[in-house]
Amino acid sequence: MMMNLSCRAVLSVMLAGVILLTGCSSSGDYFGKTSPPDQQRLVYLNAAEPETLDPAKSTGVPESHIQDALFDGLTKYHPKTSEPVAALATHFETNSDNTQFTFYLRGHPSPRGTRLPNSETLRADYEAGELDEDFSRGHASPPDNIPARWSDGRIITAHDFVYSWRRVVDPATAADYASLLYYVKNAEQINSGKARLREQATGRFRLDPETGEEIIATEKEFKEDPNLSRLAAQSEVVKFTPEDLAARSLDDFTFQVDMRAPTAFFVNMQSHHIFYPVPRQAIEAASASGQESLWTQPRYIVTSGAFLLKEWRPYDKIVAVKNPQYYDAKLVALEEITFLPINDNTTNVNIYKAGAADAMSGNAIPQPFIEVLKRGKKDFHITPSLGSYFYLINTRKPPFDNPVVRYALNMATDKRAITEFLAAGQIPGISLVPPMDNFNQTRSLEVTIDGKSYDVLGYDPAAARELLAKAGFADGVGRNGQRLKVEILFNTLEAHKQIAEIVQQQWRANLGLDVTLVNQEWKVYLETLDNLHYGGVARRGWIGDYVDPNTFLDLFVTGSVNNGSGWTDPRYDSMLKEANATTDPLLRMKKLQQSEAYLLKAMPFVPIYTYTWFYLRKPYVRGVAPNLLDQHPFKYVWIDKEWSENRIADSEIAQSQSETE
Amino acid sequence: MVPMVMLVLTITFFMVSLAPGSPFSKERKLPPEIEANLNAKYGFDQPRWKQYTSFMGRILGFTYDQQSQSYSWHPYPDFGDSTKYKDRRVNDIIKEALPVSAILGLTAYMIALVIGLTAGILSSLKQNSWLDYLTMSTAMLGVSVPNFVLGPLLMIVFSLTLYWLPPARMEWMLEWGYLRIPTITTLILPALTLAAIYVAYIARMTRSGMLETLRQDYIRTARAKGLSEWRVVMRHALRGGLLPVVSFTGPALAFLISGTIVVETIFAVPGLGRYFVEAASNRDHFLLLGITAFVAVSLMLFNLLVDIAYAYIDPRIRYE
Repeated sequence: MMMNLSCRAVLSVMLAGVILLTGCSSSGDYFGKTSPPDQQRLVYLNAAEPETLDPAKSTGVPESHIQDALFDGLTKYHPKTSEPVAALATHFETNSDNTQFTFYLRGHPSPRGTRLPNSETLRADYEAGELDEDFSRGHASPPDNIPARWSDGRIITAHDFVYSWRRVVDPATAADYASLLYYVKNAEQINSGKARLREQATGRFRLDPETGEEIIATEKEFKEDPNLSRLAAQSEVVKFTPEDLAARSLDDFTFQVDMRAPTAFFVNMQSHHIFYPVPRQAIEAASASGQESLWTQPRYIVTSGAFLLKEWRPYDKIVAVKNPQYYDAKLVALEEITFLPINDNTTNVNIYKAGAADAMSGNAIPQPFIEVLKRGKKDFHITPSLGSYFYLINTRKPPFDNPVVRYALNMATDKRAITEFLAAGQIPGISLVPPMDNFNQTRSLEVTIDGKSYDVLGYDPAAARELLAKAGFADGVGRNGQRLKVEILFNTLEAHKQIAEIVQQQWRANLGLDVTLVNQEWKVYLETLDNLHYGGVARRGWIGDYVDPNTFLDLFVTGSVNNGSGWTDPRYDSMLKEANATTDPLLRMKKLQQSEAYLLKAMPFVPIYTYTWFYLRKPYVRGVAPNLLDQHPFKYVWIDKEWSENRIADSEIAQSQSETE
Repeated sequence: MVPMVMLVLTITFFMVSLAPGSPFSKERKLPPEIEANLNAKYGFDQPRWKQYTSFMGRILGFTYDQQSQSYSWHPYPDFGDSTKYKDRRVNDIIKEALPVSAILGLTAYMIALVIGLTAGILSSLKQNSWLDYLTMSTAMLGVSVPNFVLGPLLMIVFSLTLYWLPPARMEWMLEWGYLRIPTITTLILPALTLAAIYVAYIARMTRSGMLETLRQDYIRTARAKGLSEWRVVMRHALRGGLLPVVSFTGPALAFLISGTIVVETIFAVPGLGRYFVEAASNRDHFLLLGITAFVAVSLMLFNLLVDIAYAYIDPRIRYE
């Protein structure tokens, strides 16, 4: 989610300045009021007004928080690791090469395969000391053979998944994130309106004699391309329809999916909202009234998650109440959640301080507050994030087409100075993929140039100058006597400007470059980036969709629309493809790391920093653990109504006394 | 008025269409086929003239039904779907947000009128006295201090220090369909912040209008007739002195009821102002056009009311 309004940014900074004078003056260990509510009601500052509550159409983090409360998928995020835990599915099976997945839903009499982690796992992890809190709170998982139900009482079946996934890839739905389903066989062809040729005699689809694969093109191409139109004349042009999606229900509680290629991380993606089933009955009821998109309004919506939508007042509040039909309703402690769509960070902090809200989504605090909050406010937290901030390099524009120049830019950037300025625990950027379990980040990369070896990932201004000289720009001046010009493109936002100014100063001092800052309005910036119309480097941020290195590494495969650097390499594509086809998880991670090292050697970007999440949360809000995606499943959250600062102080004293004894 | 609104919308339509960037461009770029699906859904794949005629048709109340492939007519404009808020139609957004902005704007203007007129009249009657200097200096301060400074200052004092009033957001004392009336405690800070600048303008305009009127011959005549000063001021001078304020009221009210981004953002008010500004940066074509149409109509309507009020207040410009 981006704050793309310049006026809002300016406002935020000015307000923060004014309010900071007195706003942070609250004494004590906590920021503002800390008396817990007397009921299990949570008020959550949700950063922005949701664009939609339809899981198939939404794209932002604020929407995902509300959808987490309202809907379940095959899996949901683990409260700490963000890995998949059982939700509507309890078990899954995969074939030997990860090209077919079978999910067993709640209600299946004899599920097979791998059992997904559940409440028992959470309790065992807590007892083993791996979790700080028992998220199950002593509640057992509901039996697998009891079906899950929609909030209107209807049973959730595999047919609901088939309907929902077909709806996502249907071009008429115009789902922004439909591409996440492209891993499923035929999804891309359906979504992009492609067609194939059926031989009238045999009824089979025609194959390309060279590749042995089906001949697939758009209907327009079959008409206009001379070769294709000749073939089309002899066959029937059959357009892909949503029914062609390779996702099927084997029975009411068995859902099976065929992939277009081995996809080892497919189960990890299932907690993403795009895969959630949607209620056909509610959508059809809204369609009958004349407007399908109204199905997310309280008068139509039917949910599968722990909460029901009670009220949605745009830019005011969204109220969700506990869903009595939820399969795990015994575990759900909260009776009500109110989401406040406040998109001004200073207002967010004010509401929190006044005690009118209990928790907030990540990174919704103005920069000037962070330094003050970090000093002794126990309800301020900084945790790692699955996000990277980097400068794309336009590799199609000389001299940035020369990797040696790109190495010089990276080695002349002191990332630590930037993270110290940002001051919210950000990690200086070395590579693309943020720190992640089982994935060894590439920390250094030796490259030999003219017989001398350089660590191109380290900060080394002298070596950077040397490399720039080798590329023909001694002291930043080219052979034609002109100083090398570099533009830093960013969208209008104070934080981006400040980072760009630091980098500008570093590249001027370390390399002698002529660095100019180019600041563009959000949509114009996106267009410039997309068309590679920038003259040097461009700011970019990327938050992973799921906890797997692939969500970062596939940015740079050939054909990725999010590349932005102009760099592609078939070898990299095949390395990544091979890694993702590897079934052994550890070996796969190793191959992914090798792919990243190959990418870093090409260096189409300068890593700047790894994001963190920083937020305020009242001490009485429990059942929340820091995690990479800032997704905190509300089904585990509860209010400790007995909490008081004195009780904590007493327990700390008692603990120190017992230690002394 | 209708041709003028159509002209405004035509100009806005083409300006929005020609602006760089797509409504669907995002940090995470969409694959071209998905962008094509979205363009088809909202009709952006059509030639521009077709988009324009279709939009204008909807403004005039004609809606095309895809299923029956026929037009239907209704006596209100249909602005279409928002491209940003995908579950909502522009008509619904305006209906929902407008009453909130209107109530806030009207309250602010009422406060501004009461304080501004009183201050203006008093300073004109006591010209060059300490009262005049004090009121006009305060008015100058009101004009100079922007509302993004005043708002937070009020918030710091009344919400975060004294804890008397909530820092932001509105609570509702009455909800009746789209009409929502906020509670006094949640309305007061945003209304005061919004009113401050208008208090200052009104006070200064009233003072100068009154000073000019008080020097007129007919005031001297009124005094010569032996009328009390109160009657001279309230019955004769104020009518003339108010004329600049009346002219100012038309556009001021039109802008106030259509919402203000700054105050709505600071106090998290669910009004129309934020939608207007964000629609421009999001390239939310139909939402932007819908609100523009509304602002244009309000502006013309309030100016018409001002003309009528002028004729009522000043007999010299009445048509016989």
